[in-house]
Amino acid sequence: MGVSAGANIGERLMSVGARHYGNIREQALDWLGKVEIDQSRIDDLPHTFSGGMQQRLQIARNLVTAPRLVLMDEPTGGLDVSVQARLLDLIRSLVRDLNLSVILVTHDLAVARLLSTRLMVMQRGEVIEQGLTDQILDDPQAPYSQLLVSSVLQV
Amino acid sequence: MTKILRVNNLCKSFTLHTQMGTKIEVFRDLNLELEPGDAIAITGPSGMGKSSLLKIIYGSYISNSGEVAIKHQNEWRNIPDCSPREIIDIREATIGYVSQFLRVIPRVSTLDIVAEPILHLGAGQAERRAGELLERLNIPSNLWQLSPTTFSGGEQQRVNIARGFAKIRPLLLLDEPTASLDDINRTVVLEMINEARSQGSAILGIYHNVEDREEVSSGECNLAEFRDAA
Repeated sequence: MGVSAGANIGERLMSVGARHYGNIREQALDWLGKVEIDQSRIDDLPHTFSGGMQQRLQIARNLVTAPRLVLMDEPTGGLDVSVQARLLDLIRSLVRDLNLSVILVTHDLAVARLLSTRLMVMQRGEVIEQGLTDQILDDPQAPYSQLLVSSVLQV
Repeated sequence: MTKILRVNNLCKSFTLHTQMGTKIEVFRDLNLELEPGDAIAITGPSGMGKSSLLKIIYGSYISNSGEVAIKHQNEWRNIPDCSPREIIDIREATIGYVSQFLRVIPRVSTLDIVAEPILHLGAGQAERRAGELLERLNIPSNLWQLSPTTFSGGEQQRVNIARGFAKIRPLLLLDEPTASLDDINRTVVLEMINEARSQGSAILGIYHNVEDREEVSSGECNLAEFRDAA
């Protein structure tokens, strides 16, 4: 709410015991850079950020404490496609560089294809098909998976 | 001579649940073997399942029955029995695949896309190798920092080939690698295929053009032979 972008990131560090203000601020700056938010915005309030920036701030806030597993619920939902591409690229490089494991929920099959190595299709609360992402998308077996894949609009 | 790929009695059909359960038989009891250094062209009219065969071997299509055994790090593995993680490992070390289309994240540079499969060599080395390949395939260096999404069809194809050849793997699957290329680049790609072959890779390819096929292949697998007679 009334907390600056830098404090949003710093708060997580403090919750795991960081107390040195200089270090916390330095790490916050570093993470703003990693998620491509202009570092001069560190003292600004997140509600003055665009949707894409808020999403990236959220990612910085979650990754600053170096978790091993990250859960992402529609990380690119509601974003403009140009911002979406940038965020996808960012998530992919963070996953690769930090060796993260991610469980991602998305209804966007293109996002699933670009970000995930394995895919699980759910219907009515049950997993109906799972496997390699490209196998599920290129040769789906279950009727509902086939319906999903065949319903994607071609651009 | 030791084999690298053994396909036995492979059957593939598609069941289209969204189209009133229509069943499409692709091929039946397909047999094929490859040794290192072999270059087999898959032939047959359009719709015979040439690309499907490559995709089954690569693990992106599911077969109905039969065996697709591949020698991965000196051990035989049957692709239909492999878990997703095993397939990812096998792809990384053993199977290279150049598809007909380039599929990339927008905004990632051409150089990074080509270097990605060999990043384990270190960023500097990977980029050097990527640059060599792009240069050889006549992609002007002022385009290397750009995303290939806006490139022409032929340029995208060449980026795709550069990526596929960045790491020379024991089995190379090539789906129309020379389609949409001009003569100069066609020659380069055919040379690259022959080089990979002389380094001991086995090549399984689909070539639209008969001359290209003859230039790089030592044998042929005609899918028309594996159609259900009925």
